Amino acid sequence: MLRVEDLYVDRGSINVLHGVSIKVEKGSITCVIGPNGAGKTTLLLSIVGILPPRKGRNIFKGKDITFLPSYKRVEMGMSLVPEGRGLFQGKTVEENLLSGAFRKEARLKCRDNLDRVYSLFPILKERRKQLASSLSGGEQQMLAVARALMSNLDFLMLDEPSLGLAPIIVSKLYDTVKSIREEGVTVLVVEQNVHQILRVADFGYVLENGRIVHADPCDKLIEAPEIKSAYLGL
Amino acid sequence: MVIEAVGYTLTIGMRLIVAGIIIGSAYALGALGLTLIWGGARIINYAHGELVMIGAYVSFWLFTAFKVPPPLAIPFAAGVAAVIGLGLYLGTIGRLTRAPEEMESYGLILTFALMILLSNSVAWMFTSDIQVYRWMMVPIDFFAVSTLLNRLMIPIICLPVAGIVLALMNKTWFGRGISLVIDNDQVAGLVGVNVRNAYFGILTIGTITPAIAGLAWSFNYPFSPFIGIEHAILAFVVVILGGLGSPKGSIVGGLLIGIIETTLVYLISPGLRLAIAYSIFILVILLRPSGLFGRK
Ligand SMILES: Nc1ncnc2c1ncn2[C@@H]1O[C@H](COP(=O)(O)OP(=O)(O)O)[C@@H](O)[C@H]1O
Ligand SMILES: [Mg+2]
Repeated sequence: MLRVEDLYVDRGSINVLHGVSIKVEKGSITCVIGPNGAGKTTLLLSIVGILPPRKGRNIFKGKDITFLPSYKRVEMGMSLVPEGRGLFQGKTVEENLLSGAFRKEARLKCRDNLDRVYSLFPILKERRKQLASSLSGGEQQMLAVARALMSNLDFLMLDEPSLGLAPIIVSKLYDTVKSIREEGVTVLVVEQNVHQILRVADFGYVLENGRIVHADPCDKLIEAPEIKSAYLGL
Repeated sequence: MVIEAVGYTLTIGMRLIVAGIIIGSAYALGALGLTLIWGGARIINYAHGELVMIGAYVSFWLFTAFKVPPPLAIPFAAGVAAVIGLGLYLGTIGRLTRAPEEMESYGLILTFALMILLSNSVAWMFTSDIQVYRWMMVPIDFFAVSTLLNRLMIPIICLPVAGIVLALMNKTWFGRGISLVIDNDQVAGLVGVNVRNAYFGILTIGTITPAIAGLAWSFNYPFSPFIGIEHAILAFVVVILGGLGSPKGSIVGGLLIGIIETTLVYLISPGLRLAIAYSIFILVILLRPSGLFGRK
């Protein structure tokens, strides 16, 4: 689905990513874990086209998208749920959802998709006339995921979805992510809070100081001594 | 006796409302441009009033030199304004790789320069004299209100244009993209809006609408190359009243200001026009800073 090849990305004068390569298999849930400041957000912003790399390539569905503007990448079927959710705060829940169907392929299926996400997240239906800014943290995260689903995407990226959420909400969220994957969507999650994601994802990368230092299936990663001591506090 | 007095008050009230809507429609259309550029591209357009002035002069020139009736001059006024809009786009968003914090300072310098440049060039081409021209200056009765046909042409021109802009914003994907960019351009990019095109649209619509409003003013009121400031002030008040970045707000706000202004001017004194506008401005800031339709 996605191949990131030897990616170097700068933010201002700081070199953040130093030759990152990852691969996301079609139909998988892949995660990139790493401490705060490692460059996880930078990686996702580069994949979605907001931060152009200095060097390296992004290949999506076999096509080199390194120099494609963001909106064209969305047209190709990827969607990022950004850190801090990135909702249209001045718009209602339903307006936010409809904005998710901006992608040409999704416009005609807008009504069906709306019914689908409302049945997936009934709370959003109840709140559909409320401003996005009036939702609780967990509801905002649901809304952000639901909006991504409105685009009829096949590749979903989540930037620290668990941030600021109670553990029980987080496991509900990941249950949803699993069921989204069952529907054929490939998922890439970046997380600092690794307890739950390592049980959900198939394959994991560890990003530290802008470099990939580990890459393994998650069941192996969870057992690796370095991961246990550094991330799981065991 | 009483019935007569009530009837008289009703007629006066009716007359004031009609007169208010007539000028308010031009305020509304002009302010629509300002609210888009300010709320959408985060550029305070100091040259807003000069766009109104340019629209007036394009129409004046085509009418006096080639006898083109003002409604047929709309495409030309819009064209000149769109070139200015393109200049604004190339000078701000077009130069920057990403939706940028620097836009505000670029925009400030550029629109300020544009303000001086436009008024001085027009003064150079047409002198700084006050201009007037007559078109359709025939008395008519409209809903029991006697007015002049040229007055009535103001809403006949401005309201449909404003309606077209609203329809474009609400009914087309391009317009919906613009409204998402007004809320948050980064997120708009993430849902698949072509943000640059949306900005281009914002600056084009935002420069065209005041020019068309100016065209509608021009065959009703005297104008000079330096009338810009007065139009800019009124447009700022309308935008704040309607809610920054809300097209619907600027239309409702424009009509309201037109009605309030006409009424107070009638009841008190014409000398108070701008003072009234400022008072409304202060009241809105104190009572409802987000304006009528502002949601943030
Ligand atoms: N807007 C920015 N401008 C400059 N540097 C930034 C910006 N955002 C983040 N950085 C720097 O980039 C590095 C990586 O940040 P980020 O990708 O957000 O890490 P993570 O998401 O893993 O916490 C950090 O050292 C941070 O200081
Ligand atoms: Mg981050």
